[in-house]
Amino acid sequence: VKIIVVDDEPIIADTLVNILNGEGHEAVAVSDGLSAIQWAEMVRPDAVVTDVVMPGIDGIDTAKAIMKLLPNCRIILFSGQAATSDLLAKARAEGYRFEVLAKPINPEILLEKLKLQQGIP
Amino acid sequence: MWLMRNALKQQKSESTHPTKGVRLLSSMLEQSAECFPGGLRSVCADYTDLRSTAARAVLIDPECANCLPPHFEWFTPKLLRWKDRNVHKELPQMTPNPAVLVNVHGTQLLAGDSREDYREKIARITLDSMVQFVGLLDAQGTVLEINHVALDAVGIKLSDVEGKPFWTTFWWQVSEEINLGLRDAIRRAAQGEFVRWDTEIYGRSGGKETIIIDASLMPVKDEQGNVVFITAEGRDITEKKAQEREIARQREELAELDKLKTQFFANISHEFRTPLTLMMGPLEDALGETEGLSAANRDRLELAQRNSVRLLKLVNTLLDFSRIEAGRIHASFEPTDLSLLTAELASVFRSAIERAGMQLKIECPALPEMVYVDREMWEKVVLNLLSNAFKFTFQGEITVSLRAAGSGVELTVRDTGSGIPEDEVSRVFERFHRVQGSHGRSYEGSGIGLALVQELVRLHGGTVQVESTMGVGTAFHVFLLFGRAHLPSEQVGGGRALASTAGRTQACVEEAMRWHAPDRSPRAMDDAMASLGADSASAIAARESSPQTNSVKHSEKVLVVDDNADMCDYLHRLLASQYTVLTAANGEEGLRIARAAHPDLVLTDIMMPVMDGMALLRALRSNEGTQTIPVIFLSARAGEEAGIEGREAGADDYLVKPFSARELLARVAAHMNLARVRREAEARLRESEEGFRAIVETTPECVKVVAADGTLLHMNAAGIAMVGADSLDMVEGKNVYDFVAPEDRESFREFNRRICSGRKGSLEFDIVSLQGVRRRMETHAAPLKNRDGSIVQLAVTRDISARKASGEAARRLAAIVESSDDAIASKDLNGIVTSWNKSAERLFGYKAEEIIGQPVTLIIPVELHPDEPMILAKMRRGERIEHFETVRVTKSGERIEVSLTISPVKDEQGNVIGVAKIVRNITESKKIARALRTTEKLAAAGRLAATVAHEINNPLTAVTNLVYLAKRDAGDAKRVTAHLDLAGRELDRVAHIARQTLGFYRDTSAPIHFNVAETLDDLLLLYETRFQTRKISLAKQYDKEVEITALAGEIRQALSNLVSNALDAMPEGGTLHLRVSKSQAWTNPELPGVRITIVDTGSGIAPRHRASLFQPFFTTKADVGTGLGLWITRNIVEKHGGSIRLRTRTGPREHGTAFSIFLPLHGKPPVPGMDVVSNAPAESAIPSGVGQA
Repeated sequence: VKIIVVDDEPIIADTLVNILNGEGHEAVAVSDGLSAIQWAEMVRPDAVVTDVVMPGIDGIDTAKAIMKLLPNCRIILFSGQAATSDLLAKARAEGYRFEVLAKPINPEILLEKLKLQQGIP
Repeated sequence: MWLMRNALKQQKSESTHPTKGVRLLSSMLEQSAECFPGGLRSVCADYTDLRSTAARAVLIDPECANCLPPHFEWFTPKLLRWKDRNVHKELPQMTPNPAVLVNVHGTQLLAGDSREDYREKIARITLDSMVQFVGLLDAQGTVLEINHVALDAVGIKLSDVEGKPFWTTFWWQVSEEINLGLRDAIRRAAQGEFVRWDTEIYGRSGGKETIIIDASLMPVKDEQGNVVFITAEGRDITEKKAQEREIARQREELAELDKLKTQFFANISHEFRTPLTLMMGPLEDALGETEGLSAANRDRLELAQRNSVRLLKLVNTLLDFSRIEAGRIHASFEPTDLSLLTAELASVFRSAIERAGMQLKIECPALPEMVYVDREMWEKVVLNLLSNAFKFTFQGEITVSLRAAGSGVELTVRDTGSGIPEDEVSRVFERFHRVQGSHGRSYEGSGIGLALVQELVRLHGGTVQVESTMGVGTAFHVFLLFGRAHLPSEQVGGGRALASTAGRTQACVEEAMRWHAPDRSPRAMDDAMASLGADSASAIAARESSPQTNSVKHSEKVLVVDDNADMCDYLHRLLASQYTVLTAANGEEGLRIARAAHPDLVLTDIMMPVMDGMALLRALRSNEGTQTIPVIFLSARAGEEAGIEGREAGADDYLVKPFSARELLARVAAHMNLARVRREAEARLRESEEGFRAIVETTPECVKVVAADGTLLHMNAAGIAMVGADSLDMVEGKNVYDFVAPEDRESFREFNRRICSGRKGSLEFDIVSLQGVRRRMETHAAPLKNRDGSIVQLAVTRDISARKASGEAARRLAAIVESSDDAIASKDLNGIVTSWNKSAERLFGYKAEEIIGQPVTLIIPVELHPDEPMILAKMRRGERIEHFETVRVTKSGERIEVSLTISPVKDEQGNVIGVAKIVRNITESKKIARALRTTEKLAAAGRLAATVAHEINNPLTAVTNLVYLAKRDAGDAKRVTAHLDLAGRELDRVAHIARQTLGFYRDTSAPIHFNVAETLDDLLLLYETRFQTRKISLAKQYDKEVEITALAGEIRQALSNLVSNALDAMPEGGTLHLRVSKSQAWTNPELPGVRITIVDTGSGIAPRHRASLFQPFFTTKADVGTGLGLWITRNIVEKHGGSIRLRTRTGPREHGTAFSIFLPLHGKPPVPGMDVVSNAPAESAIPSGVGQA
């Protein structure tokens, strides 16, 4: 599965990529929303795992942009901040629904989720 | 048929305050319900209405007039009726206007009244019916009339004040200032001026309470324009003022909210520290394994470790903040060689900066003087500014310079970094604000480093500024003043330092090193650490600094010896204006100074380490050079025998703490005087008697020489005046006993005998002068060798009648204080309770005799003890603290919320000699207010928690991933895997705490069907390490079949909170009993469900805590609890339609706590979309990796 991991903290992005690749996925890490959108256009990933609260374009706007580009791409948001709920509520009001994982993410759960969504086109 | 109808008209009712008239009327209506059997309803309706009216009357049908209670008069606009010996008469058209008045003060309008009488009476009724205070004065301010409202308000009669000057009346005795204000106003009004002012007078609760009035004096002139009367009016504006205060209080409330947040963060910081530390241990162990650890994995673990350090640093910084905000940070400002210290601190960053290909310039020339800083705080200031500069600079240089600038010193940290956008510059010091769009070395900053810098600089009375140009660089300027005048004096020199947060500097540099990832190597780290080592050595060197000496020189020296630095300081302040004061911390030091400096007097504590006061006294007396130095003992040991013991040992005087400043100064002065006179006398006696006399004659106090038999050998002019004689001839040769009051004669005789046997001493006694005037005297006497070799008494005596008389007045006041409804207590400047009234006894449970002489901290909760020095410091500065709301503890340990008004007590010279405090119990009112505000508070705390959550969850995620990777790649290295498992488990705990405390977790996912016993077992895995380390055994009794439908994540959290609490309740080990069984609801046997009981064998919950147990922010674990656990638990349980119960025992043999939860088999479906704070799915409500695996 081709995955783009987005987090402004390189350690988080890098380690997640490392974990995903270890399980046979094909993951790349970027550290901001704009790069994520650009990469998504080039790589056309099956899934995007993105942080929500980031400088610049936040995770939700990034996700929305990618969904427009790639309607079949699954988006998993993760966040360590409760304020996320406001952003999510806003997105919901605009008709977007996202899966959300709380930080710190258990890598096993993330892998499990990705496995599940393989079945979904 | 009777008719009752109100033709009521409001009369000047500017306030809704019910007057006595209305009260009477109301009670009359109540009483007369019987008289009006058919009209009860109208009576009631009318009654309600009446309460809001100032003055009104009731129209009653004439037939019913008979039913009125005795002495109730009433009249109507057209028809005046009254009831007098059951005779009704009509007085048509008597009232001048339609206003209807009720007479309640005994003025009766009679049919036979003349028009003049009537007019006068109506004026009085008007006067009395007014809600405001009204009076009539003559042009000199003598009271002619005062209305009943004013009289009733303070509980006096007109005859008490009639004919007296207005300013001598009770209302105006609030303070001297207010009284003078009135006199001035009367003087002006008498000259024809209309005077109006706001003032405080007694005017409520029978004169116990003051009110604020809008007062006015209006001159009434006769035809010639002369002022003949003055009308006085006062409108109660207390309510208005109260509203203004209410606004201020709301502002305070906001501050309280802030305090609460601070407290919250203090708690979570504590809570995080333990698991973080526990997590870092195994990581370190894993790193220590030589086998089975690949280079890649080693890197990962190092990274994980550094992230943990970062977390710890964040938590520590949060803790620092909460300390600052809670006022618990106690800066200790010491004179420091700041340029040396700053240079050392900056150099810590050198290798990190140079490794990044940049330069570090340090320009710290020697300063002209030492700068007062708290060293640890200054470290943080410099390190935070430097790490900030490093974070945003990629090439060029970072300059740290420190130089004298005007009246202070300026630290500049300048970088050639990316700069801060203009619109962001003003926000850089905001907490958790991170500059948007700036290009930094790392996004990892917590966003609070600069905020902390600002707080710390502020604590130093300094300022911090920033200037920045995009693309050019940024400079931070910190400016501190030289000297110590701008710093709180009690924090200068010694004192407590901020509790060290270990690894602080280390964390700072380690973090910085890590930003510079490409060159990251253990060696770089070692360099940094090595330079840190050097720093601490130099830090010690810098700490050695010379203390400031007294600038003003006095010829007489007093040596103060006390191991309590605060006491030393206090005495120093007290004496420094008159004497050169030397201080020593113990007897040995005192002796050394005494031998070297030959003080004129020694004031010493008795109980001291190294060498106590008694030993010091003996040592002084045994040395010829110091044996004549007067020594005054200061001791906390009360009781006469202690004084005798001190004097037996040869001390000249003895003061028991608490003592008043005035007393101390008087005694010191007396002994100084005595010593001086004696010294000079002994020296000059040998030369010439004339010289001696000349000196003695000029002393303003009585100096006399008395022979052993009482014969007055000599007395100076002051003494002669004291006894009322004209010349020495009249007294010389007489027996001094003749002047002593008869009842004191025996003690004086005994005193003289003692002095003449070679001892020193002092005595208080009355004299009766030749004119028969009695005066109180205090004498300090010493033996003196006469020319003939006999020993005579040389005494310095002063008249203390005035002091005694003021003591008398104080006693009268004390009687008033004693009977006050408010708890009133006083303490001295050392915080020792000196008085305690009856209400204080009632409020706190301590009897006066129990608490007087004890530190006031007895009634202050331990965590608020640091407030006390601040309160005292404020008092020393002469400031008041008003309506300070805080918590105090009663004798039984109950915490009560109080409002304190604390004011300094000054002597006539204006010196602060003590503190008086009025304590009002506001526990109840606070409870109500709190209940109303809880929701808002939680929301606010929640918002802040959310921000912090982000900061904490990011590094946590990093560490989780790293540990996962390391474990995956550890392969067969069993030991490494074991360590990582352990670290992983602690990591889960940190994550759990993060969710629980910061997420205010709410589950929004759907309920699922699950097995309760299994869930509970899964959960217990989490606490495995704690079971082991605390030696807690488990006793389970499960019905393994029970399954319920509920939000699994929330139920797990609720259970987890209870288990965690139970474990905390058993620090010394014990047994945790768990039971799961089918059951019915306590209140509804029809409702099937499950009961889960969690029992600990801890010490139980004290009865006083039981009620507040489920309140948010209530915690008995002051250091670690957030106070949210049980509150959240109850919320979760109740949300599921369940209930929670508590049983607890605190007996010596049977003790422990049992929490029982009942949950219905099918919980109420939760309301979807309720304020979602966390979006974690149910599965992650408990630490991941457990339960799901």
